[in-house]
Amino acid sequence: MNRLLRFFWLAGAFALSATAQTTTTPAFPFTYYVHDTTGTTADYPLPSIYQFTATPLGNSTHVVLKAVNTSSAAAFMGGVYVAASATTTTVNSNFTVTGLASSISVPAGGSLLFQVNFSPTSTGVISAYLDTTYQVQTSGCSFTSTDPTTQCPSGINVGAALDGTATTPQLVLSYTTSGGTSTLLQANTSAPLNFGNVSTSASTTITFTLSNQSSISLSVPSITVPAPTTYSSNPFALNATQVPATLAAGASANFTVTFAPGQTGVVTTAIDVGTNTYPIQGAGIVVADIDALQISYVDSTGVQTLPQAATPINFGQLVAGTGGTASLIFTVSNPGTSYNAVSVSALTVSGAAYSLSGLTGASAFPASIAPGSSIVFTVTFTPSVTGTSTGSLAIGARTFSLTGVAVTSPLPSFSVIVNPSPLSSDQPNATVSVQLASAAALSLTGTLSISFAPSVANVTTDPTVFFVDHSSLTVPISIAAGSQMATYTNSAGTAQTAIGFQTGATAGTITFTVTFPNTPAYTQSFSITPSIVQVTSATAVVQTSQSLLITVNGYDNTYSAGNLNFTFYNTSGTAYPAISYNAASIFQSNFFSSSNTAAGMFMLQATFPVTGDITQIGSVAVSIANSVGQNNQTLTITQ
Amino acid sequence: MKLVPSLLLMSLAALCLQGQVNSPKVGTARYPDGSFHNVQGLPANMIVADLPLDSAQAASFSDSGGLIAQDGVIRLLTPGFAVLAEFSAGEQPLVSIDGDLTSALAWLPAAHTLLHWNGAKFETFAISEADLEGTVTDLQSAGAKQARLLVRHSDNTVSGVTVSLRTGNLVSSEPLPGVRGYAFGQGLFVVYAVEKELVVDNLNGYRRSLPFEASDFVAERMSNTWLHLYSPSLRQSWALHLTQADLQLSRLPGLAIATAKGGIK
Repeated sequence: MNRLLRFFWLAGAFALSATAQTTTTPAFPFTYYVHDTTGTTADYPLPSIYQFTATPLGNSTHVVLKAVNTSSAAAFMGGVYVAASATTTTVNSNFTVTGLASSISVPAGGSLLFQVNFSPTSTGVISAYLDTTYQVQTSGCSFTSTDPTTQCPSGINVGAALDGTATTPQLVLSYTTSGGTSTLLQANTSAPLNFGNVSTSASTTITFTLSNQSSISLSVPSITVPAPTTYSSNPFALNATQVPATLAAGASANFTVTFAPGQTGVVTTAIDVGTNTYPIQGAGIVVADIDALQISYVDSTGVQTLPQAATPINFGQLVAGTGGTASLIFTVSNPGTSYNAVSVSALTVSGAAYSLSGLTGASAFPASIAPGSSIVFTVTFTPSVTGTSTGSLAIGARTFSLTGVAVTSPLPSFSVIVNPSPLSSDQPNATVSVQLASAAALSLTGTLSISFAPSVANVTTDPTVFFVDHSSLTVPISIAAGSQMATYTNSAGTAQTAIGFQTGATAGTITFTVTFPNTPAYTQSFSITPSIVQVTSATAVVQTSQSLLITVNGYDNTYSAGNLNFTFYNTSGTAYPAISYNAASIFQSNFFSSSNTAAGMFMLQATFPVTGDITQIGSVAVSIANSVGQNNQTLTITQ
Repeated sequence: MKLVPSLLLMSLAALCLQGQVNSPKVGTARYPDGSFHNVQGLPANMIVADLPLDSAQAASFSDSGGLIAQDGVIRLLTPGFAVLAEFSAGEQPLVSIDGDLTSALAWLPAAHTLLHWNGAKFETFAISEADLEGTVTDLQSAGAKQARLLVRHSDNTVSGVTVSLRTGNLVSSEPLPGVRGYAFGQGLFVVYAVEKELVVDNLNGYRRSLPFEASDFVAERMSNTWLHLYSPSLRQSWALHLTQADLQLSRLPGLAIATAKGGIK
């Protein structure tokens, strides 16, 4: 009866059914197990006496319990608490139960997890009891009914004894109020330390002190303030730069946490000192009109972030020297629910690496943003040097820090090797390779591009310069970790380091560009020098008894061929008078025709009507001159 | 682009010059996906342009026209790619044209029949299996009213078989010493591959060779003096310029990835 009275005191919802329940107390439906959240060890039944590990004063240890409804009916867990003794309802303040919502219905076979924390406030052995209030569903009763006739039978279970030993305090955390009072913080408490209501234009800072209350030097565990799970930006900023790696016996160190909300609303997180968690909370509120503005930005991938003033807006990492930039598009909105236009006195960006552009919604400042309206602008990060570049963005009184990093390339320097070298026009079997100065530390995939800049006046390109495999100007290449050579996988699926390309038929410069992620583009150029006309094949053929055809295939990479000279010889080697002709206009018409896709390549066909005995003509010397010099060919007449 | 004529008087001959300058022509290539492309340029520096022709399973081109096989139908083409005549072969033929249109020949392996365009119509000649044992790898005209076939035998040796285009009778059959495997004829030359070399035998006994990375290839004529060589294993194409005075092999530019359909027909 005593237990029932205690239960009704704890769970007022069941108080009215006290009399009715005295004779129908159901069996405790739950079985408790000790649960390892890492899954390393299997659950095991909670022993009748559970011993917490020795816990220094100011620290906390915990056990995760799994409650399994081992009855055949649905059960209702009204609450779990740790009582000071087996016969009292007084809660032992050295223990807390977290992670368990009150009043939970658990089906037969179902289970739930919760955590029992031991956070001693005084040294010595501390004992307590794990108590559970519950109901069991029978005959269509209701867990939530307040009518004794339909209410499910209830009970209270005094479970395992919990023993903890509080040892001499070691590292303890305290904070100092504005009045100078130092207050010890309990780890893993459910009551967060409240930073209070703070304007979105302002911030508040609390100084925390980590003290070593032991008699030996202790290592300081990591101190972090994780971002709230629902926020991508953290409104709490930790500054623990003054905390040493170790604290001598009796020593202490200070760190600060600043709550600087960029958005309105309540936000909760924690200060984690090693395994100890100290919940903290704050609320961003509107004090001045400008605090009501909703600020967000979108990155290049379309991800939207609501910035918090405590956390710098991060532009990410770029490679210095690549000319690369990172931009974020900001939107500053006056919520439609507001009834005041909000005046923004100024919009400024500071920091050499940051610039402001693309402002819409306002033409000048101060600017007024009407309810439901917004302004949009872009902040761009353009690093010129390696390292971290900081800056700030001020939207009236709302300020945000900016940060971005410029790094050097992860790859060693490149060189581009062509074979043969030097290159010439119409070069047979020309290949290009990409070599690193040393072995690559990581595998990367990039591209190799080829471009051509003619040195011939009025010529803009040479369409015959490309990589042979797919007549393309760019090919994918890759570098394997540990390798110094880039490879290209050809049409047959074979990786090759020498990549075939055509050198064209125009004087100029071939440039190769190597591009890998996070690496400055590397370019290397190779000259194709102007040369005399090159003849790749030529024939002199008797077409008829009165006609002779000379065909010359070749190229003129200067596009300046002009003077032709033909000297015929009879079969005895005696020369006839030479025939000269300036064919510059004919060559120019071909080279500069809009339909010409063969660059400086040409096929010259010259027909010579012959009067007399054509069989007496034995050979012909052909010369073609351009701006560099003259090519001479001697052709035997094919009768 | 006519050159202004210039008259030259000589003791026995008078020459006057007429001429023109154009882009150097290579020919018409059928790529492994069956598509046709106009090839211009010089050895080692070529450019490939698409042609508006339906894809084919076999093709041969000379400076005077082309002979192609599309889904069992053999079509004779003018230099402008107009269809001059058709023949329904009903099978996958081997086609060849190496000069004027009357050099157009086709070998129908299942029917064991030779097809010839005589200038007016296609005429057929059934060839006795006893006269021609093996696989025909190429055929070409051989002077007036004769066709010369290269036949690969089961022991990998190759014979040159001459057939009369008047009677269809065998004129001669001669083993080609040293020629083995797949062989392709080009005028008086026979082209084949041996141990990383492309070998060109002249029927007069003169032999030339070039380094050649493929161990396998098939060939089709692109024009009178240019052959298109393709290696199925390497998936690469080459252009071979083959004349009495010239032998040059160079990579034929591959099709852009967006254009190439891949595969081997």
